[in-house]
Amino acid sequence: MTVGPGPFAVLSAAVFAIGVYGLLARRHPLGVAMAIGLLFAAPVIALVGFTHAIQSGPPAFGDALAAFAIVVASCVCSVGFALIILLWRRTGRADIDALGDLEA
Amino acid sequence: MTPNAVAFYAVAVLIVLAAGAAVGLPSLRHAGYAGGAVIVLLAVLELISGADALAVAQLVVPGVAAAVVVLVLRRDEYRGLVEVPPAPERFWIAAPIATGIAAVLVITLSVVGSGWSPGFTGYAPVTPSAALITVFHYRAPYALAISVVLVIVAAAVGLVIGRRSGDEQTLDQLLQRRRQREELARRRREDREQGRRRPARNDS
Repeated sequence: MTVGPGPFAVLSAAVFAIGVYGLLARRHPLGVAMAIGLLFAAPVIALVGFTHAIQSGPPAFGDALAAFAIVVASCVCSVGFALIILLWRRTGRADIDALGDLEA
Repeated sequence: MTPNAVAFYAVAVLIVLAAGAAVGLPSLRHAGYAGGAVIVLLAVLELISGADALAVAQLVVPGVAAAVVVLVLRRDEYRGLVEVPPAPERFWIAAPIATGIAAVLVITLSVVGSGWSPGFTGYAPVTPSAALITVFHYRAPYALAISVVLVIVAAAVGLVIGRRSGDEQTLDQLLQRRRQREELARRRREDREQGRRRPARNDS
């Protein structure tokens, strides 16, 4: 027994919702970065499911798009981490509310 | 290749649990471990779906980024960033919004059945006829080129933002010396005040 694209899409939606929760609930910037990573992981799941379950469209283009999404997510999180350590050095606080205390 | 249903659902449950732990655990260190587990489980999901090259990319690209993050956080000056006590979470606003989004997406995707698009006539287990590397090389070289450029730019931007500049090092040294001077002055002041009090006690 195999699975179609539907369960992949539902799993993708669940991971996306968990990422949204983390993005809104967390106040530590590293936790927020992890939540953003989950938001980027959700479409990758959907792309893999649609690519490998639907018999239409050019083959493996979904995989290429998913690989691109993985690279983009890693780049975003890397730059975000650089901003986090800059925030830590400038304010000595690990709270995204500290962003409001930064002077121009 | 479509994945076996049992394997898919087992991995899916583990992914949801690990993702929930990554955003819900109060300890940032444990949440980081859960985030790592999500990455590995996503690679497993891609592996059982037949996307072998994508699974390798899923492990290697975020793995390198995570290794850099761990190396930086192990330095003394950034160790406090992980060990800071957790701030109270904004559960009251996050939970309703996330639940609403989950309800809309999951219910919609669950009831859509096979109606993904007007021309879609159902799904069938297929094996993509081209490997990921072939697609990147012949059909979508721009995606590969943009990815490479993006990685280089992100690494450069990360270094520029995250590094300590010469001015910042000098400023830190000056601040350290100022703190030492202030501490020394405070001790001298306290010693002088104690010295004044002693003769006063002897007179009485």
